[in-house]
Amino acid sequence: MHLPFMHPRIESLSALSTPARPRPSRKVLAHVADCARCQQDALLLRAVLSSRYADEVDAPSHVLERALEARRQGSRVVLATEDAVAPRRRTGVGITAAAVLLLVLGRLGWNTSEVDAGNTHGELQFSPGLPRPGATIEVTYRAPLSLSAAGRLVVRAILRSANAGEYDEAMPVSALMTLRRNRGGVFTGSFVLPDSVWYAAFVVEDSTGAVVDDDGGRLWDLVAANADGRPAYLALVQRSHHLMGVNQEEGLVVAQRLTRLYPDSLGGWGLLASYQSRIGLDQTDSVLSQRRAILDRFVRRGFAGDVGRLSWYARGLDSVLAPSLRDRALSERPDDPFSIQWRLVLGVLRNFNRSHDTTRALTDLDGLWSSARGQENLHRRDQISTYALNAVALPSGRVDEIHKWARREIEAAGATRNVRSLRRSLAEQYAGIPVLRQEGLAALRAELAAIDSASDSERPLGETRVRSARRHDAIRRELLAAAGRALVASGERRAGLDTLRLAVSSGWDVDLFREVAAARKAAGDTAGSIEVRALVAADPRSTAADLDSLRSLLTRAGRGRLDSLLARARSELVSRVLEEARYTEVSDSRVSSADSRTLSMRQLTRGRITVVAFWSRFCGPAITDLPRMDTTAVSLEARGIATVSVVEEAQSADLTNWLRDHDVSMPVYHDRAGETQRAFNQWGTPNYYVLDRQGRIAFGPLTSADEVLLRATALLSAEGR
Amino acid sequence: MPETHCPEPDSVLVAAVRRGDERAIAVVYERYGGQLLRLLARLLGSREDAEDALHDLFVGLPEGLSRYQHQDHFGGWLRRVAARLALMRLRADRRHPHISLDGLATLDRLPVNAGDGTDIERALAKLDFKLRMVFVLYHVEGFSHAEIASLVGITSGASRVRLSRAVASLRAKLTP
Repeated sequence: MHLPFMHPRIESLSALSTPARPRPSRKVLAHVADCARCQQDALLLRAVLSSRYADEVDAPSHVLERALEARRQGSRVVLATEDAVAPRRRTGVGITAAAVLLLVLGRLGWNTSEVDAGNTHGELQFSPGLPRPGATIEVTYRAPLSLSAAGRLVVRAILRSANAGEYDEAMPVSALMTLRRNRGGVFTGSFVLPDSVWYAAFVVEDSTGAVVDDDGGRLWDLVAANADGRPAYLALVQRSHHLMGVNQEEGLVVAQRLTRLYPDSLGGWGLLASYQSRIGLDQTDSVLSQRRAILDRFVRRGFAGDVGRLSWYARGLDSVLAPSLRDRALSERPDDPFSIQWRLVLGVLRNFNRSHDTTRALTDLDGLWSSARGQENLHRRDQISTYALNAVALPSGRVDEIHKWARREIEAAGATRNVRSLRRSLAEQYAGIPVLRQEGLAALRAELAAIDSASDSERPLGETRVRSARRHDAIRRELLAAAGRALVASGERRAGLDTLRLAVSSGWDVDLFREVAAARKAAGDTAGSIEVRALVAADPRSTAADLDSLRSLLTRAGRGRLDSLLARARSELVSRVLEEARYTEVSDSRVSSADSRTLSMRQLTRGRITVVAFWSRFCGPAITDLPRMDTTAVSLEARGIATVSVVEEAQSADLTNWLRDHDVSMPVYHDRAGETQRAFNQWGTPNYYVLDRQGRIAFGPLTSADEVLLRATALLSAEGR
Repeated sequence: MPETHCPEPDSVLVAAVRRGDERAIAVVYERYGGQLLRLLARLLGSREDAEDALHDLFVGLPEGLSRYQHQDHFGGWLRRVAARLALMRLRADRRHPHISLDGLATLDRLPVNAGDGTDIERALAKLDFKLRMVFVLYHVEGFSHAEIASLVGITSGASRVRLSRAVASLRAKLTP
């Protein structure tokens, strides 16, 4: 029995308007049947659900675009992610017990799930995210499993000031700060961003440098801000310099952003043009028309202070305006960096290429060197000295000029980058020039000694100490080979041959083997040459000519040794190549096949040695390497090694036609959601991985099919031992 | 974002969004943006305010995710964060009231019983925000009173009372 004056709770009526709520009781239904007010309420609730509010809506894309742009500019919003504290109610001892339990669990580290950000890379956060130079930065790091057990971690960084040049290779790396693990398992610390630094890139590693988290090769970074809170112009310029050689597409995006934030700065437009050229977009109609419009805007606005930069920007855009701007730059501001560039390109280089007059060229270059003064010309001095040394002085053999320009090149380059590799290169070049050979040998010995005492600041960001040692071994082998050749050439045959033998006693560098084999043969050491030629012939990438070359060295009587020589060389190959193998687990992920079946990568790669090849038909280097990779896949398949090639795009008729037109025979799988890319922690194409039978990554990422062939073959041969 | 054969699980997305990966943020937006916008529009009573709140939510999402536990349903967590964001905005508006003349003009031109839902929208928009919050969260979004209580910072009993008062107020506004 129901009482008509006692209305049911409104919650009960909700069920009449939506199936999402439990069906009301019969008592409620009976009441509603007789109660006009409740019927009205039920209708009201139903009306709400069927109103426009309930319509499906798509969130407009402009909101997302604004949000992403705000983030790029450093804006952050602190979200209330914790529930509000509800008013306290008397709930007896239960709450007290729960609180004690929570306290105990907290002490036991219940919240460690926040600590392990992933298996291979964690999360590094900075506060403020967009600091002013000189600001104190608070750093928080949630470590991956590989680093979470450490008590303290080291943050290494490349700090870029206003004059830092393009590319990161020779940028010094500093151990910036130590992060300490707090009770919650999160690593924290702080550092002061130096006043002169506008951009910094970071990695986190353990104190021994054995495990490095470089965010999957992307590196973390920090962009400094202006007083108005915007990313600073110099910071974005430095970020784009850092991205050169790392990620051209992202560099293009940074340059585009630079022009959006600083449309009145011609430097940003110049940088954008440079990236467009690198990516091959510079001759498209839309880019050319945009550049012409920008040129027109700056010309109409006046450009008194920037005629040099404008003249460089105008080249190739306007056949009348460009030369007139260039002439104006050369007459009004002859020492401007861009005028110096014009003088180098149109004056010295053109004259030297026509006349081959070394004396005149060196005099002209001296004049240019004197003109290129000041901080703004640091890179021009680098450019002038590099050209003068390599194109003019070294070929001339004039020792005084070689010394002078080498000294200048080290001075100019050393102002903005590490000159260790430059010194090594000079030592090798000197050792090859008769009049400078002894000086070169002394320099090579000095460089060999320097490897062992190399400062940690020379270890690139993202490189572990193990990989660093391996790289040093490769450098040592090259220096030894250069020294061996120089010793033989200077008449110290025995010492030279011993040095050459040492150069090829470890590692696997087939080009170096060819060089050393030729040097030993030239020195009359046929037996030594045969030994090294056998290494060349054992390499799966070698040609029939390499085997013929080995045969030709063997006497008729000695040809019976060919098989045993090759067998020993192959065994050597396996040992040396497998020294590089690092067995890394990879989590499972899904790809789809051409017939739209979803497949597990684990199933595709377990049980056989497998090559996983990430490529894209929209990537120039990937397309260039594709025929070689496809041939390699066929060759490996014949030996029982599978290839799984992965593209990011979905299956389509267009792709099928493209694969047919390009004769691609290896199986292609689709990773449309990027799941497999993330599992391999990979970005960019082409990237290849060699997996062992357990599905672990033994080698990779590799960037050429030739590297794949060598390593997959070595891995297979190791199993047959 | 284009349709994918194998959508990323939320756990993968969350890790990428935490790193500030723009592609992942865009996937989350595509996946949840529409329902979050609807929720925010209902709570805030204005599409423009809802878009602003949605913008703020996605600006702060990567850092906000540091508090997210994987055992939570990601969509549910996002809805709770959106509801809190709306609540904070409404409280701030109450402290610093501003009146949009455009909005008033639009509302005044609407007939009370337009029959296409606009009367309900008007009535909802005119509800006291404390009542509107509970009404929308309970009746439209399907939150329980316990969830509403912890979100808003009231007791479950207070949530029930507010729901009842919201319906009474709507009834009064909509009855000719």
